[in-house]
Amino acid sequence: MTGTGVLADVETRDEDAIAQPWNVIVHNDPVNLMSYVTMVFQRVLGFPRDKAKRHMLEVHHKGRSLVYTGERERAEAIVEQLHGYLLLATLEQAEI
Amino acid sequence: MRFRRHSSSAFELYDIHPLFAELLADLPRAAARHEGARLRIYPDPFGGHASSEDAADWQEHVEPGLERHFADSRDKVSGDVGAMGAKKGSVRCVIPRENIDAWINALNQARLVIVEENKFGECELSGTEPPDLATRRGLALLKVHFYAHLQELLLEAAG
Repeated sequence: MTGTGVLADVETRDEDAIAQPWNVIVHNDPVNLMSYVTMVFQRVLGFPRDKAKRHMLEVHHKGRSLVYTGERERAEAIVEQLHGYLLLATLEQAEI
Repeated sequence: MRFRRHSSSAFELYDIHPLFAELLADLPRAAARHEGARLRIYPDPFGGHASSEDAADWQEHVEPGLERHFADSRDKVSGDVGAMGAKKGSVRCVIPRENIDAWINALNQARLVIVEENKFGECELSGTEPPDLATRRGLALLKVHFYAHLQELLLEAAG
């Protein structure tokens, strides 16, 4: 009985860790052009031009912008794509 | 150097100054020098907070795909600059529509590599003073600016 209880507890924690949302953050760098970053946000995240530009300006002025929150798998896929475009992007667990 | 769109949707750079022709020819080589800029070209997706297992997974499963993607872009550019030639005294380079993304990517690789190699800061990159072409550093800065200008043209052309 004790063993089963421990196992159930571990499984619950694992499920919580998987279900916990992840953030994708894009960081400023002095090399990527503003027009380029806007285009990448449109392509990778499907943002309309205005929203893409807003996030680009946030990266430029504040140093970072949160561009996605959601499942870890999707967040990793987005970061992979952003790295393919040579943007500085990181993943972090969202605070709940 | 001038820029025009063909009816075939290809883009053409023409009347290219010999110095800029040299910079174009050097683009695939400059973009390939990843070793000195590895941390910037392949940044840590977890910002230093990953478990060793997550970091190893990323290196094993994601980075090889990124390497292939970057190399593929450089190969396409290499083919286009290899075909660059003079016609009636004007050096020209044709960029097929389907290679525009590869060019934009290779230009970005090259710019990141050169900036890392020379440790250019934001001030230097956005400075309005013309670079001192008598120095290696000044030439490197010219390259960064030239590649940025070309990238802007292609971004605009790509819509």
